[in-house]
Amino acid sequence: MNKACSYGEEQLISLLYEDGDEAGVAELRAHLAACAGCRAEVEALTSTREMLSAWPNAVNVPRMVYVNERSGFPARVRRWAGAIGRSWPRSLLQPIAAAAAVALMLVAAAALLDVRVAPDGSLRLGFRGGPPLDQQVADAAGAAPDGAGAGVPDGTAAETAAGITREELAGELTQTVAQLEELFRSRSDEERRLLMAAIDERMQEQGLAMSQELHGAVDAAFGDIQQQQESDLGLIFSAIDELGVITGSELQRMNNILASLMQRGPGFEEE
Amino acid sequence: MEATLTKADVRGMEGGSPQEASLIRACQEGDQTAFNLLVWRWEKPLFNFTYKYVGDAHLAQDLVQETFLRVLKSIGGYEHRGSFSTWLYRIAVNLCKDHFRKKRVPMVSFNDYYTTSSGDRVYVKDRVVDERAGSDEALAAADREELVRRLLAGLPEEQRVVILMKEYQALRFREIAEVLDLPEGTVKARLYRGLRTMREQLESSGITGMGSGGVR
Repeated sequence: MNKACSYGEEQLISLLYEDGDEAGVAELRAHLAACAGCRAEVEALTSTREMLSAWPNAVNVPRMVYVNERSGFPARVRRWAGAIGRSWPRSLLQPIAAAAAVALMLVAAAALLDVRVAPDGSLRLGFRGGPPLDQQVADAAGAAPDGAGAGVPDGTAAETAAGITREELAGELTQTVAQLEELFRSRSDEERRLLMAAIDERMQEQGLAMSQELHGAVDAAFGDIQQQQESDLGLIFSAIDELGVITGSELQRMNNILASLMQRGPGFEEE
Repeated sequence: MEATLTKADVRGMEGGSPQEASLIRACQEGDQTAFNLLVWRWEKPLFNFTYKYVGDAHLAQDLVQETFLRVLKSIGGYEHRGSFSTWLYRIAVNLCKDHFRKKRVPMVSFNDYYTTSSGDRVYVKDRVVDERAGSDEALAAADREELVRRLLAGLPEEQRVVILMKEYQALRFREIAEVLDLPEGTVKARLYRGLRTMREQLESSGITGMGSGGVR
């Protein structure tokens, strides 16, 4: 502020932000017409304010879901979308629907993935609907001289060999869960219970075999997943566990697999 | 809930509005859908605020989560007088302060340097400003963002928090005053000093302005 002038910081700030002290701001506006020093001050601070817009707010932020415990209100707020990726459906409000949707997502994940034994004996992870797995493996072998990377490749090579990226997988699963969410929303409580029972049965039937294969494939593709940090997805799985959907060991393995597949940075989009 | 509200109803929900009062009453009665609507309404701005405050996305997530947990624990005794968001921000600010206090996290100083997208370190205080980085062409959006981060991080916490609330959360001065339990005049004075400090930092390093094209 021009030190020769009597206008204070508060009036200047009120003017800059057009917030409060209307009388003082009107007085200051009139003064600015005649005072170059104060005008320069206002312009400089306006410029500083404009500079701040270079750091915009994030648009897609990690979402939360509130999971009510059976013990009742209050309950826990669970953060879990961040482990999956952006744009994850967050409105899985009913705990049973959330649990069932995640369980179904696991089944869907197994359906989406194609696990085969590669010519060198290693397990390979493919994506159903994509190029034939043999072709993927052949392509990968061609890209890696002497078959290097065919066994336990690094992340980049693994993604090439598998023919999928984590983003693609996350996108597929996001769509799946969005559909499941809608499905559960449209059902009655009794229908949900029946559906849950069916899911439970299917997980019991298929879970172990599916886990072994997937676990091996992911192990080969992404390295030692046991060393990776536990993701927030684990919280959801523990919630499912509490609901008695699937067993704890199965949950842990599923958690490891999915967390490994989808582990990625926050990747916020800016406005 | 007294009236069935949707996400659309609470999207631009004003503090002290009937919708907000209705939601809070429903939360106090244990309605989890109402609570989810509150979370949905506020998690995004709250994340952006805490993210800019602490400078770490994962930590910001944790702090936002903890904020809502505290809301859940305390909402039974909450008296709906001012705006709910004021209460929410106050909890978040206190949690951020607690974090800095407990961890004794050293704030990144603007006086250190920032790194341009090309990997060059630009020392601002020492006037070792890379000429290329100072050109409109070289300083990309990411660099400008990094510079703003550094400038804000270099401010005293009391000035920074006010700037974050006003510039990025668009809170009214009376709301910021309520959140921080300060007179409005003090809020404005801190904001003024913060902007002045940032400007002086830029000027002392030969950066006189930043338009959309870059540093000048």
